[in-house]
Amino acid sequence: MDGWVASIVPSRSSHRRRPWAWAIALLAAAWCFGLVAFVLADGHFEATLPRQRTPPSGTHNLSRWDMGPTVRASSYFGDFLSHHHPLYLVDDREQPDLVEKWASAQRDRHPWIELLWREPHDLERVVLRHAGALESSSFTARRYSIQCLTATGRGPRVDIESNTEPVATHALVCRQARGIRIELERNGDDIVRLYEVETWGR
Amino acid sequence: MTRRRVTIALAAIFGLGLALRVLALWIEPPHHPDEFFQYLEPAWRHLTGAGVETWEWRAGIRSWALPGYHGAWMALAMKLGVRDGLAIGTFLRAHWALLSLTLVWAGWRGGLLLTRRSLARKVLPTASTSSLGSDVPPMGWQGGLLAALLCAIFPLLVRFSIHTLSELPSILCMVWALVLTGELVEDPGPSPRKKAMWTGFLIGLGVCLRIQHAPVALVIAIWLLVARRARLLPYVVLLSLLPVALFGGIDWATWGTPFSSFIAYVKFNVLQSGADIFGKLPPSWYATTFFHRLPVGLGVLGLLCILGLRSGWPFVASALGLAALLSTQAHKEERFAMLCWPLLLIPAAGLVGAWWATQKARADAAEPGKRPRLRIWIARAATALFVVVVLGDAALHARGNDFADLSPDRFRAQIWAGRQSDITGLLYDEPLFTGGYMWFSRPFPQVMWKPTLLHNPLFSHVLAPRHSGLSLAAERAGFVEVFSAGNFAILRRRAVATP
Repeated sequence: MDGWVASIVPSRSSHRRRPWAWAIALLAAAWCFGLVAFVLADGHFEATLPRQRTPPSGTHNLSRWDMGPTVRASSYFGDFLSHHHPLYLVDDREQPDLVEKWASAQRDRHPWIELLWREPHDLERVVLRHAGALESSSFTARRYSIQCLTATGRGPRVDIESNTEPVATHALVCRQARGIRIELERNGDDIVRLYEVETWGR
Repeated sequence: MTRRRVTIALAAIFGLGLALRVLALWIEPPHHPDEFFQYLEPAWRHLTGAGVETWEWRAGIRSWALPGYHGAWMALAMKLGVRDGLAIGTFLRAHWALLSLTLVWAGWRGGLLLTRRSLARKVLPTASTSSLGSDVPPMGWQGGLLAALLCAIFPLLVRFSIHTLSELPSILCMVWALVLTGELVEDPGPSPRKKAMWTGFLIGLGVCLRIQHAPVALVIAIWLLVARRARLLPYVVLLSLLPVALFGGIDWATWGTPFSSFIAYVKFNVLQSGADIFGKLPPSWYATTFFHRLPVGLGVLGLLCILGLRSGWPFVASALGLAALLSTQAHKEERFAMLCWPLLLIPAAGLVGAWWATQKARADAAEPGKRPRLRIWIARAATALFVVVVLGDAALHARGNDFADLSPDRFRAQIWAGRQSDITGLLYDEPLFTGGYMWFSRPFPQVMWKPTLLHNPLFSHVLAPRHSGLSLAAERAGFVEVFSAGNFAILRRRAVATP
């Protein structure tokens, strides 16, 4: 039987096998390239909302959902029912449901978020609505830093060492800013929860 | 029959199998949420940052091996500029459908092997083959073709071939391992060690992908021992450890501890009977399900398997061992036992093929004037009847799957919503019965609805069954229907004038 099988699947030395061998080798090489790209991916989240209104001339929340901001996040808690998506950070909800918050993934040891605007703005202050505003005060992030992002790199930064305010307002003056980056420290082993981030400026 | 004709018949069977799998890509509904949320979505989430993370992934009871395999193809597609989740998902389904054709080849080799094993026990009258010359087909070709045909077009196997579940690759590995073992036992060929090592590798890979398929590995070891091929066993065992080490290494790299997901999986499913929360079924459930799938054909298959037990016992024992093991688990799903089908079809085909070959040989050896052609035609008719009964019965009862609520219409609606340029969020009634973020292909939130979420401006669209509570609530909140697929509708928030 083997001889017959060999006549259908030509032997290694057969010329007829070469195109197949090359095709398989090429596919394997392409897959390996894909595997390297997959392994190197850091899994960060990024989404840009469509702009739905023209920015007003006065001081306003630069990263409100309808201004068309880009939201980037190191991760998010994506359970079926407790789906704490990063875009909730900019939905401008005054009375949010408990699900309408951003929460970092359990395995994310260094959570961060970035809010980017479509054009440069002069930033004045940043308001963070922590989970403590609606849930247990222990959910409020204690240590974090907020850094201004500019076209040339990173601008001024504020470091918060022991926050207890459920709604924390931080002055951060930054001209021609493109956005902000917030790096948060977990309270022990707990994940980070944040309901809203407002960036006020003009 | 000449060798050339057998080759053409085999090629036609492959063509038929391919055509049916392409058809399955078009019409086969989703089978199980796991095919999306356990084996595709984790890789999609790792690459795009957006995705559902099920509790299994938070608890670390899944290996990254299969999602990583899919993820490499996804990453490659994205590097080539393809970012549409549906396109990538369809490619992955097509890729598994193509790979599942190797089962047809395994069926051919298995059927050939078992027919020869059956014929070897019979003293057949020899007919002159001098007229055929070198164009003589291999001995047992009848069973080989029959088994290949059954593996190619058996409806449940065709349907199952496109689903991205761990069962399919494991089925391919285990059936091939059994066939190679049979060849080692019957006729090891010039390089038995190489074949033994391949057998071991396939066993290891199959068991790592699906631990429940372990009874096949046990049967293979017994088969080698009974057939006095124990000297090959070390090669089998050694190479079976290679995939085990690979899976252990992947767990080490991803979960931080070697075999972490395996240990957690066994702890949850076996020691804690954790899967019971997903439903308990009686021990007879698999037998009942098989009977429902093949009310007439199962009896025929069973009878043939019993009659051919002397040659096909390793296949039958593997199927029974798997069914017995699965029956001891309270939580049962049909997909868990899908491996049983090729393990029953191949030995049955082998026996029918042997009977056909016997009749042919007797007819060829009969004296002129004794109407030998009648014997051949009876054999052919009986074989055709066997095929028609098994396949016809299976086709008539092929509908349905483990999750009846997985409607393809809901998937179509979700895909349509994901392709809308103005979408910023989707609310739906049942997150488990969608294709996740990969099918949605957008990073915007898609979550199970709550009345309050209808007022969140991010949620521009709603997916709901027509006239359902969600559909009516959405209409009251200012959504209007813009698309429908079967019983499912997509509603869009009416544009609100903004300053």
